Amino acid sequence: MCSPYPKVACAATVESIQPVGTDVFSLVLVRQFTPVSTCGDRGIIPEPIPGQFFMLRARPSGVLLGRPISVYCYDDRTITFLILKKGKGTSELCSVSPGQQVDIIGPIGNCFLRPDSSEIEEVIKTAITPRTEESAELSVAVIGGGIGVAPVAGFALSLPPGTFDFYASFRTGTYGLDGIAAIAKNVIITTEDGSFGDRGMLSDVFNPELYDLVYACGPTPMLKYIQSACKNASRHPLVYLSLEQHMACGAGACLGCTIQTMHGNKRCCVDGPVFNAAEVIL
Amino acid sequence: MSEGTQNMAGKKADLSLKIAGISFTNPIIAASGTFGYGREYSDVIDVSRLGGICSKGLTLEPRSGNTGRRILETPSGLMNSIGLENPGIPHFIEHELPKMLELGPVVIANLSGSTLNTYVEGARLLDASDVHMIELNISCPNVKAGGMAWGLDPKAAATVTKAVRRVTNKPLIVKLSPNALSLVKVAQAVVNVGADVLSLVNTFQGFALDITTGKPVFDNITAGFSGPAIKPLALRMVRDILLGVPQCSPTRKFSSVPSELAIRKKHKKNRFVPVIGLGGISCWQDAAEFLMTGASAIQIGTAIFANPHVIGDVITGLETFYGRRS
Repeated sequence: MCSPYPKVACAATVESIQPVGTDVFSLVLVRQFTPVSTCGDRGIIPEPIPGQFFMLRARPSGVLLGRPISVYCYDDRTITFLILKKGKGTSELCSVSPGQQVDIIGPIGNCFLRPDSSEIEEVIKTAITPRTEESAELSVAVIGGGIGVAPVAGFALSLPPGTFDFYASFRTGTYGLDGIAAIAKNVIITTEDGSFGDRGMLSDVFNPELYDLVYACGPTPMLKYIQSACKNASRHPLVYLSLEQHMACGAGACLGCTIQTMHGNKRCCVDGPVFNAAEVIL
Repeated sequence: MSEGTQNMAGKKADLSLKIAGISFTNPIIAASGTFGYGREYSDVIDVSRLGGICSKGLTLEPRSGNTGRRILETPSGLMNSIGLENPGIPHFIEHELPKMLELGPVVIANLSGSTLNTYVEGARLLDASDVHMIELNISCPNVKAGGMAWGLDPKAAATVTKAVRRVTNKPLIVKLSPNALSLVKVAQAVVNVGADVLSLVNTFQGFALDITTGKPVFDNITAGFSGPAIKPLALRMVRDILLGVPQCSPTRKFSSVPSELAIRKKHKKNRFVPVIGLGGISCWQDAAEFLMTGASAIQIGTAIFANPHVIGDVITGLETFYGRRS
């Protein structure tokens, strides 16, 4: 599993905020932070692993709780999030100004297991249908739907070039795909209004028979489709889904974000957000 | 930084106190259901600074909690419908308690149940464990059987408190429901049968409707309501108890002097039953307001979700505030 990186609760400074799509903004936060509390320290926000998220809340804010937002990308100095303006909390976050501060808790959660990781090798080895061509490379699909493209795009950019197909499905227009075309084997885009790529939805272009390993994040109906399509596919691809849930603490304490699985309730925040599709009940 | 703290340089007050014979380094306690078993927050804050930690609500048997949506934020408030999800008391004692005891703060097991028997059996197990105190939860609004039903009626509240009291010598806190028709009567009833401490308030029962579907937001229909929005209601109820239950009086150390409640001195011969106040506390000023009203200690819950540092801020703020007053 992913190593449990240290978390921080602090106020981070906004470097920039830019619109990147319809109601979607790119928020860049500076990783270096100074104390804002009587008991806070100065320090640096720990490096997130692709798949992890933060609880974010604008300062000042009219809402009570942070909102769980996935990491899009990061470098030594900054962390970037893509935020869909949906309710009050996200509207505030999309309206911040450079220099303003944002309350953050994170990085939180597990991560996407990389195709070349020993864990994946182990799971594939013990899968119901053993692979016949042991030496062959795994055929990998990375799928993002709407704002769900953020965590999977960040993950895809960390993979070796030419080792995966990237699918992105949007209602209208695209965002969050910087650098993907240069690194993915194939990029397949759908929009419901035909404004970019193929008109339609993921189910119109995705063939689960082609893959051994699938990573996805997006709206629940899309994840349900992927879960069921892959379950019925002859290669029985291993599928990892990054799930979203209403959250209060992001610490695993409140049990407000539980996900039902074959092994009982799991906390989306700290047991997830990435789950094996064969285990979750969507 | 909470406003005002910076201007109050000077000596820091010693906030230590005893509640029902148990020593607390300060009167700040993490409220049940908001702090897991303590370790959940140990990577972001110094958990050892807390005076005490209340465990997640525990039942004899494991419970998977409620289905459907569990959390809904409202203006300055939070509705929850967790439904007492917990691994059961035997699991708690074996797996969570040892690590919880290592954290340092006083460990308070929040005991819930459905039938009288499950409360009693749960209390027996906790009594034989190393928990420092038991907080009897007769006020969870999110379960169909038991929970709050025991806390709404003075007779039912006395029945369960008496039964639990009989099987444990641990200091017994009874956590009251603000949904009781007569909170003072419920409080008096549990004090009469041996409650050592009262804590109040648990969440208010609320309701939310999804106007797009026309259906209740929560599968369990109603949900518990907490957060800053309930603070004035909670504070009023704490004051009602301090005024209405002779055994409950302010702790001199923190209350405002002269207190309107100092009149309680005439009840000296009564057993002293301290009150722990909670409900919407989200900064040291809120905490001071409860303490000056007469609460002996306070619990912080919902505010931790948004800012775990609130615990340290409240402790530091109170140390400075009382340091300046002394």
